[in-house]
Amino acid sequence: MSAAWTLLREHWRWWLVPLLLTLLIGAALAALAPDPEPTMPLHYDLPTR
Amino acid sequence: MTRTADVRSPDARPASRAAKLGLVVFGVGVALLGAELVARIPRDGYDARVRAFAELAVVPDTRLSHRLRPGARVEVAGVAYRVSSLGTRGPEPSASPRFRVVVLGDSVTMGWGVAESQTWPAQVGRALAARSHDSEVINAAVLGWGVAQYVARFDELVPALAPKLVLVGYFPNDPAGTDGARTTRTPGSELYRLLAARLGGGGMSATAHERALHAAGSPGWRTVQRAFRTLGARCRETHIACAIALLPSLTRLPYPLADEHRRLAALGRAHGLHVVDVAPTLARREVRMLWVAADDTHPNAAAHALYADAIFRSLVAQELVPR
Repeated sequence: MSAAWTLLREHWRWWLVPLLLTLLIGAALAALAPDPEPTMPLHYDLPTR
Repeated sequence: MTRTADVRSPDARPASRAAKLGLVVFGVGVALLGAELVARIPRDGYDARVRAFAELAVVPDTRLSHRLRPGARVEVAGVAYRVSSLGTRGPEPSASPRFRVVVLGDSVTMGWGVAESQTWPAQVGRALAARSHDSEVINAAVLGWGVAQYVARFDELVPALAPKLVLVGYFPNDPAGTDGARTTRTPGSELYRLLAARLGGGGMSATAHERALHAAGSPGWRTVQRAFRTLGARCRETHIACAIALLPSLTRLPYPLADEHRRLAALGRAHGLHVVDVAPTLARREVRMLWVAADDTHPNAAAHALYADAIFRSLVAQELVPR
C-alpha cells in the first residue's frame, strides 16, 4: 500500500473535515444568496448542423 | 466491541505539518472537483431548450451568421415552430396581398416560447386583418440576431416581398451579436460561473450589459447609429414606411432602461423612422408574470398581447396602416 494511501487512511480527519466544510459552506452560500437577476444570453453561439 | 471509526489506527505515525496541510488541500480540492462535476451535469433549462431548437431549426449563414432552416417543423418544450421556405416563422407568404407587413427582430419578436398565433406580429396581423381584409404580416425575426442583421435581412427580403410597412422589433441587447462579435460562452469553471452569478460577482447583470451597449460613443451605440441610419436611408429609397418597436427587456420593473429607450426613439426619428415605445405599457405590471418560463425572461403570450396592442394602436395613430 502506498505511503499516500496510508497517510489518507491514518489521518482521514485532516482531509475529510475540510472536504465536508467546503461543501457545507458552498451549499449555504448558494442557498442564502438572493436569486440573481435572470439573464437572457441570446447572442451566444448557436449550435447548428 | 472494537471502535474502528473516528480514530487513527493505534500505530499511526504523527503526520508532519506539511503532510497535514497537504491533506487539507486535498480535501478542499476533492470537494471543489466534485462540485464542479455536479455543476456540469446538463440541466433541462433555458440553454438546453435553445440548443435543442438551434440544432433542429437553425442553419449557419455567411452573411447573417445564421438563419432559420427553410421548411423546418420543430417542437421544443411543447411549442411548435414552423418555418416557411423564406426562413420566416409561419405559413408561406401569400401571392400578393394589398397590404403586406414584414417584421424583423430577434427571439422576442420571433416569439420564442409562445405559439405562432400568440406572437405579437401574429396578433398585429389579426388586428390588421380586421381593418384590411387583404393583408398579411410576415414574421421574419430570428433568435440571436441584432440590428446589423436586421439591415442585411431588409436588403434580402424587402425587394422581393415589396411590403407596405416594415416593422423592426428592437430589443436592448440588439447592438450585441453584430459585426461578427457574438458573445460566446467562455470556457472555464462551471462552478465558478454558478456561484459568481448567485453571489453577484458573475460579471454584469443583463441590465448593466444592455445599458453599456447604449452608452454614448460605445461600440454598441455606434452599431445602432449605423443601423438606424442605413435603415432610414433604405426606407426612403424604397418608399416603404418603417417603424421601430422598442421592446423592453423584462429583467425588472419599473423599467431601468427608460432613458436608453428615449435616446433610441430620438435616434430613430432623426433618421425618419416611426417609433413605438412599448415599455411604458408595462409600468404597473409584475415582471415575473410576463416571463415565458421561470428561468426565461422572454415575453409570454400575455406580454405579446400587450406589445401587439401598444404597437397596433401606435400604427393606427401614426396612420401607418389602412383605415
